Amino acid sequence: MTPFFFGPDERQLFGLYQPGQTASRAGVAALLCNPFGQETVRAHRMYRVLADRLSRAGVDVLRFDYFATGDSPGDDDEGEPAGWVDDLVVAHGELLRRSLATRVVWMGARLGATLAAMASTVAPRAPDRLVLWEPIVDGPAYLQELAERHVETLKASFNAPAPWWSSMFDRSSEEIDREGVGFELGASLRSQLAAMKQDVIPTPRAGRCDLIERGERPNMATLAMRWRGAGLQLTEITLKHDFDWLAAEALNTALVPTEAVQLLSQLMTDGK
Amino acid sequence: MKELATCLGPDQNLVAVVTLPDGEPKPLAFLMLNAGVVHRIGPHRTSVKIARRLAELGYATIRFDISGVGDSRPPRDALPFRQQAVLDIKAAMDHLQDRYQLKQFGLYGICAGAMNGYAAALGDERVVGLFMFDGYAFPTGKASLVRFVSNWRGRSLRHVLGAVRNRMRRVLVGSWMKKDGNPAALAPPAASTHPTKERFAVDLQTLIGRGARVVSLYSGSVFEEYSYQGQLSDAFKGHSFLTQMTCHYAPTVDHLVTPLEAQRHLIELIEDWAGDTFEKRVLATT
Repeated sequence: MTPFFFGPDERQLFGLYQPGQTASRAGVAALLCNPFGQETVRAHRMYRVLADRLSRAGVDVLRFDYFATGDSPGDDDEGEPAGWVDDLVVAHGELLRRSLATRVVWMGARLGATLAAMASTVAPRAPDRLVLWEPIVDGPAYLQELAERHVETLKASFNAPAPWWSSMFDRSSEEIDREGVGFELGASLRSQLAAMKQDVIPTPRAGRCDLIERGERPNMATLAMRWRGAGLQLTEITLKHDFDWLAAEALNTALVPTEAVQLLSQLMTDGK
Repeated sequence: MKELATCLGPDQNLVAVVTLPDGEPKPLAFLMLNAGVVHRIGPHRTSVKIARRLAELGYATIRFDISGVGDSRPPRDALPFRQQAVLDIKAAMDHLQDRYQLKQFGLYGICAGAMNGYAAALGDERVVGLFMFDGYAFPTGKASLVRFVSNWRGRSLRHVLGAVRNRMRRVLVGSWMKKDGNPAALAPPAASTHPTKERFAVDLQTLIGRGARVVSLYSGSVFEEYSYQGQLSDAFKGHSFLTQMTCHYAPTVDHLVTPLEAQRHLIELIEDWAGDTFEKRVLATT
């Protein structure tokens, strides 16, 4: 595993490259796209385990942090989806530069899936396969979810039962708007998420696409129909699980849903 | 400021990011330790924010994953968790010493990170500063009272009397079971790495005695273990180490430092500790 910084000087990104184990080189390279904020912290272990599994199967893997997230330069409030789409394209280029693989697969979860779908339409070379796990397709609903979970997290963090104790940590709506479960939401991030609706997310450009959902979501059937209508070879997959993307109790728990890792690695290595 | 990604340790298994200030770093560097299973960026990216703020103040830092946590694999001959963590922390200090000629270090950790830092500080005299956030706590009678009052504030008198009655019943039944020789009642507490009060006092005196600047910060999330400002002083009344260490109780800061305001408060406390360690320990002895 090689940790490094890459990309243009003014917008460096942190990356971790794991080449496929040479005995079983599969000719496949994988780019893993993080979700946002606390979801990235929760998903970190799962991405690491998935990367290990893919590497053992001979896949060259690149994980990276978007600008203003994780170990990458930038403050929280400088992060925004349009810039992250560009970062994803830069990371794709870096993966192609390091790997001799002939096929490239992108996998993204939550906002990472949405960004991957968007980036596929502008990348110089489209991925051969896109694996999208529960993409965020309703930005305003996601902002609302972040706001609600922020307050819930604070209340759960202070375990004294008296009602006055938890009410101490209620915040004004303005403050809540700027904070999403421990991460600052900059003005650009908020405005871009507010404008992110199912009908403006472009049809991905990829050899094929897998859309993994936990259950039925109101917007997803319409989205899938639109994407298919635009010629995308799309497979919808249901993956039932009971873990919580935004849970804050990551200090003493890990998030590695075995069934998800199995499914993702299978999709990313089946050669289609 | 410059950040460098690297692998370190005898097996090159520890993934780390070194943050260097512009210009020559001050002769004191800081290590950011893993909080539980959260990888090296820290809860809500706080370790990244702290590292960059300390770089602005002229200090080098390293944030890294100990073996088996985050992106770091266990080494070939891994030791039990705490022993391995101490070796990993030493490896990170060795890295900064070999590459940047830094020889004095401050360790910062939350929860398990605080406990790993405590163990490493005792075993390595290069450690001249220790910041423990939600580390070891020791009960006092007043803490029980504070919790009781807090838990029942705003409740009816009937609820409070009922709780007192139930508590007394449990105490009486417990003492009767002990007299009766009930094995469960007599069983010792489960094995723990928590030091005894006596051990903690000796350890803190050792650290303070060699001039280390020690800070212990307790959040509102550990109310069941630490319930009021001054609990540590009350638990160790009469011990001289108390006069030379700093203890903060921050009831509106949570264990994961979730609100941005709490993050800013934490960073300020760490800035103060870094400055204090530099002036009173590093400059004073050179």
